[in-house]
Amino acid sequence: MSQDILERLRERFPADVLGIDRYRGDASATLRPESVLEVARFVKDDPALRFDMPMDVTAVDYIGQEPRFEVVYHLYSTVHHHRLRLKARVPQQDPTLPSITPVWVGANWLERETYDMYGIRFSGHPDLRRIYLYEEFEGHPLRKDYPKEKRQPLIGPGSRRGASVGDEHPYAVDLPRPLHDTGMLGAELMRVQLGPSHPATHGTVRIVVDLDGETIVNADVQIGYLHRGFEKECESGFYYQAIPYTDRLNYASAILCNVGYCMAVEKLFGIETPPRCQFLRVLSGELARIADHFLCTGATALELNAFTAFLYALQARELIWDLVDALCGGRVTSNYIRIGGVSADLPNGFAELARTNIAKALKLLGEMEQLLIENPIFRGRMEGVGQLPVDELIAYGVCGPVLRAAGVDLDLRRAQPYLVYDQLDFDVPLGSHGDNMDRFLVRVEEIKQSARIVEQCLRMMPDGPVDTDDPTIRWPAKSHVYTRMEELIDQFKQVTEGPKPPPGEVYVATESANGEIGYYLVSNGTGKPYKCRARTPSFSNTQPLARMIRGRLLADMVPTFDMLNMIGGECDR
Amino acid sequence: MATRTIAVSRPRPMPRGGTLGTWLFGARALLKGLVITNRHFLRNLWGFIRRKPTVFTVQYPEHRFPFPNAFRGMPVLVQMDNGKERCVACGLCEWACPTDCITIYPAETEDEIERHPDVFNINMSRCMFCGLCEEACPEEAIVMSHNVEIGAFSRRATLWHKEDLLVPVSQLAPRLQHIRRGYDR
Repeated sequence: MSQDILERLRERFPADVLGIDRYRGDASATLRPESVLEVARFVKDDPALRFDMPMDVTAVDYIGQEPRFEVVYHLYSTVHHHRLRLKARVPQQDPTLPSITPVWVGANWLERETYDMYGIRFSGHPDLRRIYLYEEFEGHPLRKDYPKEKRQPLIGPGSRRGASVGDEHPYAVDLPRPLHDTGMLGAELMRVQLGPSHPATHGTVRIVVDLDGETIVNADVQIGYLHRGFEKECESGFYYQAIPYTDRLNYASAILCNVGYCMAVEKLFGIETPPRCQFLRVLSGELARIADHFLCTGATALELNAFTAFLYALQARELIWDLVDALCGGRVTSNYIRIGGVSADLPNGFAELARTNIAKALKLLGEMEQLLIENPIFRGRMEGVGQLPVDELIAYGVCGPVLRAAGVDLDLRRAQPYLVYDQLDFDVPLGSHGDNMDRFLVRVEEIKQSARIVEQCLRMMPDGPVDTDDPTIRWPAKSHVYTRMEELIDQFKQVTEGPKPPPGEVYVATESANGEIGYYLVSNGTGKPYKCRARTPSFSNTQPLARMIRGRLLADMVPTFDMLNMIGGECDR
Repeated sequence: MATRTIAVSRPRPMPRGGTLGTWLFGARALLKGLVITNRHFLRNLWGFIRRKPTVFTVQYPEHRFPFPNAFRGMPVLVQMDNGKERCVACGLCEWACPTDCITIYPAETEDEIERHPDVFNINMSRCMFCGLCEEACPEEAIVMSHNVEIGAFSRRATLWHKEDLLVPVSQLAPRLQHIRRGYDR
């Protein structure tokens, strides 16, 4: 398939496609920078390609080379279920590219992030400002010549421009094009700040809304309050040192983030893990998915004032986390998956514990459902709220339960089965209306399906090793390290030099609790990743929030925001 | 095996307007909720009367939660029976630590094991209990304990020195067993 895509692209744009590459099965094409927009239009509209979903936009800083920056686009087709990577090089002097926001509206935030982190300007972008960092920040932190240790004081708004805070509104932001300036009765619109720390939003996000009475006329979602430089940290450590950091992406389902990262490094090496390891990854990942959905549905109930349902959900999550704890040794910092294996095999008596705890959790889920689904207040606030047309959701890059609630059959476990998902029997729930109620029901149903998967894993798990026995990838067994010279040397080499995958670049996508989590890794042959990029579902799912709540009541913001399940650590990285 | 797609079943549409149906609908939902919450309440009350609590919450400082063997608390140093540390200051944990929270100054001794750490500091305000130090250690000298109560009133007190970190090997038996089983393949 990747053959066809690249050939077709080259046929259509013989002068603009500078090179094509199929490293480890990833189709990628290098373009002339001026032609990016034209090629983007073509790959979106061409019936054989139909890349309707912008997955990721990022850049790689090849310092010392000219042109220095390589902007990388990852695209996905929900029709044909194939992927494409487009690359374009821009020079250091004038890092400018045409923006692809006219083709995919979801590229808006992605390009803003690339501008923020690398200083690449996108001509024609409607609103090119920093997204994570504040306007006064000097430099672009993901450039290789920006030192990791450099500190900058957080300068307040206005201070750099020499104006005192009183001169203008300290939190004035330029909202994108208001629909109208005055309200219904000719009165001025009221600007309300929701967040960064607000009791009705479980996440550090700031939503600036202009209100006409109770109606949201205009909204701007501002993220970045939990930005901590995940990619910079990963690039400064060995491959194995990034695993605990991936736990902190989606801290509600940490193991799923581990799995994706380790699979990406394994793809760089080109190795397969043993079957028992794959079952363990699926098992632990599904436990994490259950925990994540319990948190999301429970917190939604809480923020709609259903406190009892929230407590039942958290009790159920606690039972699941007991399992995660017994398996991985930590609830939030699970740090379970390793490159080429997992850290430990199942503990004794795990299967019985899992069966009892999951049965208890499902019972609580049933009670929570009965409390909520028939409740007129809950239904009144969930039904018919937060809808967007399907094609718009796809163009925003929205994935996971939010997209499935709109009826799109896109679950990577089904669309491109990885690990052992093709041997398992489970259902993918789809909604019909795409409103918050459907999102809630899809999540509830996914808990039940994940419980089925866990049960099948426990039953079908084969015996055998849980790690690859390649000493250049996985650390040697402890008993051998204690007693044998060879393995001791291996251990020293592995810890102090890291695993060294061959040079190349890969993108691996897995289905996390909120949608596609993708890792784009560039290796230059050393023990540290040259570029480690996480494409996270919360980021793309939060982006259409402003669009979803515009024109609705202020109270509709709360359930919509909750059902998008924005996890700060994953969104802000 | 095959995966299928299924449609989620939405509840029937709610009756609208101030009709009798609306009232009945609301009353039914209310009663249903009360039945569930009261079932929990009565069950817990019965447990309280029989002095066999069924409440899920653990009253923390008085009652504690039993940790599983795999649980990773703060890292500690293994103290051998002669009172010395087992660590030979090879520095692998320092290399493996993602947050650079370990500081080791090696030194030589007259003992049978000729190297030991003169200084072994762990900055507990940076440590995230990931356990990579334990996994990297070739001597079984640094292990994760079950201690998680490491709060302090000052920044200085979050820096733990070698003397504070030493724990007799006899107290660490379950963890050492878990390491040998877990990291052995």
